[in-house]
Amino acid sequence: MKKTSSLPLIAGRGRFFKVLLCMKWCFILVLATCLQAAAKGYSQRNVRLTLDLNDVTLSKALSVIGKKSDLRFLYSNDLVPVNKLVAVRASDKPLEDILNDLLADMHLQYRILENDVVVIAPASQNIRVIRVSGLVTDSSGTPLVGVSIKVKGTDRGTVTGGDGRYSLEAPEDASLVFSYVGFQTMEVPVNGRQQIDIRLPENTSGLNEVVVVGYGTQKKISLTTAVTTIDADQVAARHAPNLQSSLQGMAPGLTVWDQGGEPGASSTSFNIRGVTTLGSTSPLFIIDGVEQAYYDINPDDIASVSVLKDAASTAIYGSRAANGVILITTKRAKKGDIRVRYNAWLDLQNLVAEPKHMDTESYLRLQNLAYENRGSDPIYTEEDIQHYVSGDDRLRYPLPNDWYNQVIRKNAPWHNHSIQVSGGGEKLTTLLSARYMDQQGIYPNRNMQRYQLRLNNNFKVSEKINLNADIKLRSQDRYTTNKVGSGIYHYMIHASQLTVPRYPDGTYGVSKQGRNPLAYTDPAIAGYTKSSSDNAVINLQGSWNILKGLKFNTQYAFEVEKYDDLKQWPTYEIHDYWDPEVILSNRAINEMENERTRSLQQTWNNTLTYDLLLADKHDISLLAGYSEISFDTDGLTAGGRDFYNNDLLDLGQGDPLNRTLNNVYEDWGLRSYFGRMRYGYRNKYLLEFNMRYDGSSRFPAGSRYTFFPSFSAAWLISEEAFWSLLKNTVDLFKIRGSYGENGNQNIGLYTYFNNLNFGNYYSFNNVPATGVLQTVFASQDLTWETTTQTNIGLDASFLNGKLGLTFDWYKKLTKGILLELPIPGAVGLDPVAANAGRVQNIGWELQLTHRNRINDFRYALTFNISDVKNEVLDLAGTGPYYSLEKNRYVITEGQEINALWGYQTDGLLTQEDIDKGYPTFSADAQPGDIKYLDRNGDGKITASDQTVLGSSIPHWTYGLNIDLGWRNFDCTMLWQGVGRQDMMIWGAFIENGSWEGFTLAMGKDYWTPENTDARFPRPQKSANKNTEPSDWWVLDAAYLRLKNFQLGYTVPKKVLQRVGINGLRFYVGGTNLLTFSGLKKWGMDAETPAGRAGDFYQQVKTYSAGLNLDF
Amino acid sequence: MQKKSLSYICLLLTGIILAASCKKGLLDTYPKDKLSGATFWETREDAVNAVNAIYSFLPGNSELNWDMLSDIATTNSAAATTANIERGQTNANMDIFQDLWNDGYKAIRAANYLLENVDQVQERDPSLTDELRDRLKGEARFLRAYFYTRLVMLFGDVPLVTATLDVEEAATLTRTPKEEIWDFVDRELAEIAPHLPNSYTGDNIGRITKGAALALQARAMLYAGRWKRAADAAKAVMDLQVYDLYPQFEQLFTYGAENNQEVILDRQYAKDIASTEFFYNYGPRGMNGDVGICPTRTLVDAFETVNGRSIWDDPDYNPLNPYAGRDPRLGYTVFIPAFSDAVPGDVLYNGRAYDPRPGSGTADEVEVDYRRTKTGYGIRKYINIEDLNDPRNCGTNFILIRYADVLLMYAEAKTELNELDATVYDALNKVRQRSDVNLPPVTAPQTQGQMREIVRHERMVELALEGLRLFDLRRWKAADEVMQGAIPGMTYIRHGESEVDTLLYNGVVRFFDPQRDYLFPIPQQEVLMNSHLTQNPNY
Repeated sequence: MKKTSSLPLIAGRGRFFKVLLCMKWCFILVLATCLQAAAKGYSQRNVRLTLDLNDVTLSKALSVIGKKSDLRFLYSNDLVPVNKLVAVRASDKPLEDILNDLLADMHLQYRILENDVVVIAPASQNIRVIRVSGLVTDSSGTPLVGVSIKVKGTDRGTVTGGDGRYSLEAPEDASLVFSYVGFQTMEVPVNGRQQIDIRLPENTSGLNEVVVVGYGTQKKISLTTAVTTIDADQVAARHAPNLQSSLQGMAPGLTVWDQGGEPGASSTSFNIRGVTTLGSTSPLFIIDGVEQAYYDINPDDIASVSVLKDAASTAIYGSRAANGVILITTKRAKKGDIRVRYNAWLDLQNLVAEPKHMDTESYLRLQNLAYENRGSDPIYTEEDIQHYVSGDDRLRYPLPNDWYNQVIRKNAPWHNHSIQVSGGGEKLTTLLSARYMDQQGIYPNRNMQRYQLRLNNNFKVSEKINLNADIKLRSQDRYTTNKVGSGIYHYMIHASQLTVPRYPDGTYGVSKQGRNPLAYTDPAIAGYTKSSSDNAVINLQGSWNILKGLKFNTQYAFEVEKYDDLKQWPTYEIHDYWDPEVILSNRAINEMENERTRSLQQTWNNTLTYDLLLADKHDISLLAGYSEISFDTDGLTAGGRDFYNNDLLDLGQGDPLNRTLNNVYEDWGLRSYFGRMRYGYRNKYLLEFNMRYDGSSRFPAGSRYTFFPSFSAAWLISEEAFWSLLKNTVDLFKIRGSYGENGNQNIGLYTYFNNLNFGNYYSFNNVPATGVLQTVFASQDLTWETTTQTNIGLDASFLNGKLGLTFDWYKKLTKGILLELPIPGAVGLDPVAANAGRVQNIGWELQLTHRNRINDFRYALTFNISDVKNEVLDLAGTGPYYSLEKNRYVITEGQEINALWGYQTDGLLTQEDIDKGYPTFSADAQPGDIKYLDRNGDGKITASDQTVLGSSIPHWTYGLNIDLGWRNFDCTMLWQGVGRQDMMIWGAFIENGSWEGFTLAMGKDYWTPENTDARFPRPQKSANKNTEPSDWWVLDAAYLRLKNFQLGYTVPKKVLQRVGINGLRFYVGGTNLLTFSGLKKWGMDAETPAGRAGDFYQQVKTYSAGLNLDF
Repeated sequence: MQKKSLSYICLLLTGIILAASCKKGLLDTYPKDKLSGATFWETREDAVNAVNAIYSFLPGNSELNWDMLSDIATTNSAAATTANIERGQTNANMDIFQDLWNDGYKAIRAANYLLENVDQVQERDPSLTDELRDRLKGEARFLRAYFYTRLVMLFGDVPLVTATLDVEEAATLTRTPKEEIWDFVDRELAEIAPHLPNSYTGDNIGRITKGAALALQARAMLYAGRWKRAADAAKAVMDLQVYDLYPQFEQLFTYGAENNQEVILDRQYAKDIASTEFFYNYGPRGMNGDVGICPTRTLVDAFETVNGRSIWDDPDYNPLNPYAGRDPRLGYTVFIPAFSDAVPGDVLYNGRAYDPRPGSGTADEVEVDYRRTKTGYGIRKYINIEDLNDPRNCGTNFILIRYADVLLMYAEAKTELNELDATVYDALNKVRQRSDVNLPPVTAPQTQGQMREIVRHERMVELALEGLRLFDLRRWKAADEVMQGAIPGMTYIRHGESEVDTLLYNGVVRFFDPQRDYLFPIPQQEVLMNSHLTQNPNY
């Protein structure tokens, strides 16, 4: 090796050399530790010491001798005069002589044991030493290797060998201390026994559990990365419409917005550790090693869920991992008798939140005032008001807004049955799982049925070869009435006031705006969509244990998904109830559309792993892998109109001139090489390196491949000798650190092609003309979004795992964020995503667990909380970019992504303001209108007075899982919430009667000369000035809710055995049963999406009852 | 046995790896349902199809929405963006401005893209003749000039872009003074006119003609206030002898009159093929339309009596039978509402009486709510009976320039030049004396000031609800007073009563700032992205 001792030179060579140097030092440090540890066990015989001790206590003298000779003295303070002052003088004197001289005077004797333990006892007693040997296993009987056994009072002892056996010399009245990482430490008195076999109980903190990580598994205790596991049973306990919802509140750093469970549709959005991209923030879901459809997975099939959060744990998934990775494995059979389990539940769904409408008289008077304030005559006479209020003629004087009673179903049922059969023998084990689910919507004529089957087979071909063959089938049917305009919920809130929902003869009423939300739930008016989707996954895996520790694994999976969507819009006529001649609403020509797509995703993964344990302490593990993924989809959409009748579902029968036909093809591929190196020393020092080299078809040749590395390390401080005093209180203390990179390839397909769209854009003289047009800017230099993440973590476990703590701090920086930034209009093309910005997320996560048992009462608490500070650091000098109606969200440098944007307000305008000429938004501003701040002082209220008003990102998201058990009763609760979040609302709730929308009961608090300190401004018909985006309408959206609750009773075995049943549990419970939220008084659910009531499906609360049966 | 199976497995594994290994072309995906720019511009068809696509940007029947921002009509929905513009709450963040800006430049880009590539097509495909190439270029250059005319009228000075740009180039553009753009438009149209045919046949009907180029030149020069150029261009159209007025004003906007001799430029539509929802969006509520636009009484009152006099001056005018004895174009432009029980209005195509009077109880009854007329009137131009039962599948072409407009442009330009010769009266009276209009002629002599008022008035009634009024008000600077306050609606006598009531729609109370509102704001996003783009005054 070349001499490189000249530090300035190295420093001058730049960072790379510094890193090398740093690595060298690390290596030396590790080596030194190894060497020191290896230096034990030399013989004390023939040791000669030189000592000069005067007037020291006996214990001090022994301690000095011990240090100089590397002996450990074992004695009882009661029997040995430890405080007696002694003097020892020796010059190159044999150890035995020194001890003899020292002890003889005090009538003490000693004996040196094989582990350099010196036992001291009164001369009057016999020192009885025996050889103790035995076997140490875990609770399942598996031998444990490397368990430390020490003679209590010394730090000397032995470890179990490869077969879990040990043997050591010990005084027969001594105690032995068995300790092992991840297991409870046990102290066992020898009591003269020569054979002591120990079954070590596992640490209840679950540190010993095996965690699924990318392309493998690791023990939780030896993780160097930020991975959270979620209890699969708790996932199953949540009756959620999809997997995403059931993960809400379960892991720190995993934020889920659950926006209601429309049957068969997913209305959630979620992210791990903040928003790092402006595209989809959904993490990568890997089920049994393969990316596949996840939302519909049968919760009863889930065996484990791991949430991979830092770059070190996710880098092995490279270009798909920037949003984090969620790994799911499904249950597999254990060999043994056939076991049958049946789970069934019934949920009744109801709306969580229902806004209260203003009472009829207040509403009518508000309307009159609103008209008068506009300069019009009042619209309702006193006589009208009397009719409306008395309700004597509801057909002519209907209630102002009764849709919540008319449209929404109460107690909409939702039931689920799943059955699992598992078992098998030595060579073959099988698990069969089947599920049927039927969910009815809270709107009429919306429902979904799901049929699922899973067959997981394990073939043990030989001692060395194992094969898994899994089949998953899922079929889902969904039925819904078609969305008319902006959808049912939108029209319940907007444009439907004072409408008779349905007349006695069945005729629908039609609002002045031509709407009737109730009619939109009728397929004979709105038409319907029947969707069916079928999904099949075949997942084959083979593993070959080539040599001890060397294993080859190959996996091939394909997923076929077929989707068929049939939409029909019938002809209909709604006649005026009072004058049937008049058609108020109609569709004269019926229409139909059929969309069919088929997609195929193939995955081929290969890994070669090598695990090696050197000298019982160097734990080395290597992994190399290769993977290919290809995805193809093709779709066909055909449409027609003017069919013979509304029932004939044959596109061929429609008007031949009026057919539409379209094909869509999409494909992408990903080719990857990946690897992992892991080194552990005595489970104390752990190092890991992960990498992936990904090539994606989404980028032009030449810039397809990118390398994603990561490093991580952990130190189990609690395994150090100096921790031994603390060990009884803090049984685990680990610090972790990681740094790595991953990417996001989620950009559109074919963006680097100068794509020309092809279509009949125009007709000349009634003949269609083909047009060819480029509409989207082509980008040649698009590349990955790259996210670098630093993570520092701490895991601790107290009191034998009764209390657990995990804390992580991270800094995540996304560079080259793919922004679909607007480009100057003068380019004349629509923008394509560009690698434009940098976004940073700094956050922390804390998880606390506590479990205990007091007599018959057992409980477990898991609390998690996290927060993230998001900042757009750089938009390449561009921006701000606005989105949402009237630019309510902004993306601009120095602010959070999608910060709320609008005017600041300063109360409501007063006559004094008007007199002083304070600038107003609208020329006709009056006292009682909102006073927008003229921030730039230019005497006008313009767009340049707008500013950031708040954060649309949830902060302080938390969850608390409570598990309680008493005898045969169990109770689980999940509390979940957000500590700080701002929400800007618009639409009917803030218009307060300016238009024809829903008027809240709280809207009665509006400005009048007598009520100047009002929540709502002065009512004015058809005025928009008070609904501009402003902080007046930013609400505090923090909440806490009882997301899930279950109370169960397990029938005692004694009772069941008579009828041949193994287990039976009944439970009742529900979701969203209790909510604390500032939005409640607005009649909105805590998790309502921001904005105008659109077509979102409202959040429901459910009451459930179910049973688990085990044959 | 085990050894044997082991070797089988080994073989199998090796086999799988070899067979499946490295799927060729895994990463070489390409779009199968789109054309690529790299393989385009090869054939004559390519060039023709690329020109066809530019036509798709031609504004169509939503063009009449401009009239909502003028004195002759208002927005039906008081919540719509155009209603906020009427209220004077215009701001640079409104999406409408960004869309207008983008659409203009998209069309311009498509034209530039063709112009940059059409010559190389000819090298590759000799069947693209010089004649066809020049025609295609002419079409593209015409459309580009059309959009510049429009952009200048909307925004004032705008960047003049005559080549395809990348983002960096576009981000440093400055606003070209509008006079330079008018120079450009003038030059372009003059240059292309000789290369364009007088007319087309078959499935080329609807393409840009020589007449269209000259007519657009006349319009642009009129807008620019270059009266001589405008008059000359209009005269050149008249001299082509290709165009004449269609005798039936009533039929002019119907299916039967498509591509008639009066049409110089239109946005072509076709039922089933390239259709619109015109009837659904703008038809009266009584025929299940959405009443998208509400003509004002200002427009209705502007129609003369059959005596050729204003209703205020004509003693024959009867306010208790206000629609009788009027310029026939009134009844062809708007649906006439019932005035009283004794004076019924139009009968709609479905046989229902058009009675929007408050208290009438009909579907057409005036309401402040959405989907009802606010003024009592409804547009009739382009509302065709053929669309009654299929209101979302309309195919009448929307006329963008017609010969009557050219005649009036000629008259206006000559008036401004103060060259009030017989040709001016002829042009004007031709329009007034179309067979089914037949108003008394305007006779000489008139002063320049009188003639100016007469021509402007004639444009207002002849071209009402065709999307031209806003631009006329802008260039005449005539909006200051007419665009203020509540909006005048019809007069009527309530059922069973005898007093004349007057509707005043105050769902939109107009406010017009002459220091600001003659131009729209440059879209805020454009100003932010390009610091060289200045904002229009007072935005």
